[in-house]
Amino acid sequence: MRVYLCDADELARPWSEMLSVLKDIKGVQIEYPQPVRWSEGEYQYAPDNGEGKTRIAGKSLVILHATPEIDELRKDEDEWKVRAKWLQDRDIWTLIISGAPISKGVQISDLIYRRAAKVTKDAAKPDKVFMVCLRRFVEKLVTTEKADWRVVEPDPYPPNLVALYLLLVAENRASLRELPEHFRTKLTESAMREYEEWFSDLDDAFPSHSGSEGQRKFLKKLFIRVAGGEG
Amino acid sequence: MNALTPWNIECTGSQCGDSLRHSWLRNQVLNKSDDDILFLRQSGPWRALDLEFPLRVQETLRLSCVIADAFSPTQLFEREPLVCLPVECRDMLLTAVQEAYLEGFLAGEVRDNLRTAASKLSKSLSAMSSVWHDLSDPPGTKLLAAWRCVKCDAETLLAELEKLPRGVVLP
Repeated sequence: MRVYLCDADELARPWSEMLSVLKDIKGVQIEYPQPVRWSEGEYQYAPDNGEGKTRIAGKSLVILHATPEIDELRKDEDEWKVRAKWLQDRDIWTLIISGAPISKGVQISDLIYRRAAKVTKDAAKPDKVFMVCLRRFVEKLVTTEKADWRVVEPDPYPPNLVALYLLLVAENRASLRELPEHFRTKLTESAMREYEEWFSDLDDAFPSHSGSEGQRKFLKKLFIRVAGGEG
Repeated sequence: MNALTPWNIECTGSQCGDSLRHSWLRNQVLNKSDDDILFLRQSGPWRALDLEFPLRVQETLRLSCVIADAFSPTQLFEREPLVCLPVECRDMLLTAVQEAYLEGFLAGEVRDNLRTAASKLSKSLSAMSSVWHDLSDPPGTKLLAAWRCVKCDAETLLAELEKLPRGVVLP
């Protein structure tokens, strides 16, 4: 599968540098079609290798920036919508990355997702959480040939795990015999799944995630409560 | 404040705090230089100073009044999965969780600090507003002195807002 890394981020760093995490994925061929050109009534991605224009086609993923650092495209902030539609019409998966601090991304269609990625002034500190999510998303896309956008932007927190924690806090203070058994069973099962998802490879996935210290503290308190202590 | 806020789960307190910090203090007050203020004054009334800033002060004072509820984990009982519980059971859990949360969250101290800082900024904004319309101060000497007081008090309030938790506080 081809992955086309177009544009650059808001500090004009090309995605080819920012998204180097994709380089080692088996079955992925990365293309850097710079620059984007509007020609003959459509966008074409012309590489600078002198071999002529390469058109994006077939099973491929295109990663665009919402506001690319390309003069001819900066005239209109909504330009990405035009480009996304062009790709949508050709059944091409498209991930649009925005530097704006939107709290949650938007799934525009089955084929298109728009999410924020933190842009820092220090090029050595890319958005590591995003990088991990992106790598997982592309790996899954290659294997299943289905775009699971939840992987590129998972839920902001594990609601069942947090609910289980609150339940245990409450149980420590009051008798809760009235709690429906089916609710407890379902909650515990869902919380276990979330635990696997969030914590099984925490060190690998989120080595510098700002919340990881708080998450570890939460996990420790949760374990103490599960073990019957006060936490 | 050493609050347990894994994932910075969004809540009314964090939304309000973020907005006051980012949209008001940083991007409407602290980013203005003396030259910006002199330029704005030449251009006539400053709508934000007259209308918006007093509302932001009120918003801060409102937040200080409801600080405990604004970061309470009881907000999670309005979301899945806890919202699915039978009402009686949910209320019982909620009460127990709220008690545990209040034992660890020093709401009184946070409220008082926030209120003091907001009131101080409110006074310096009022003084600034009076000087803004004072035509006997053409070089803007009084205006800039008043503006520096505003910025100083805005820094203090920002520091208090920075101390707020960034999401739901778990007990």
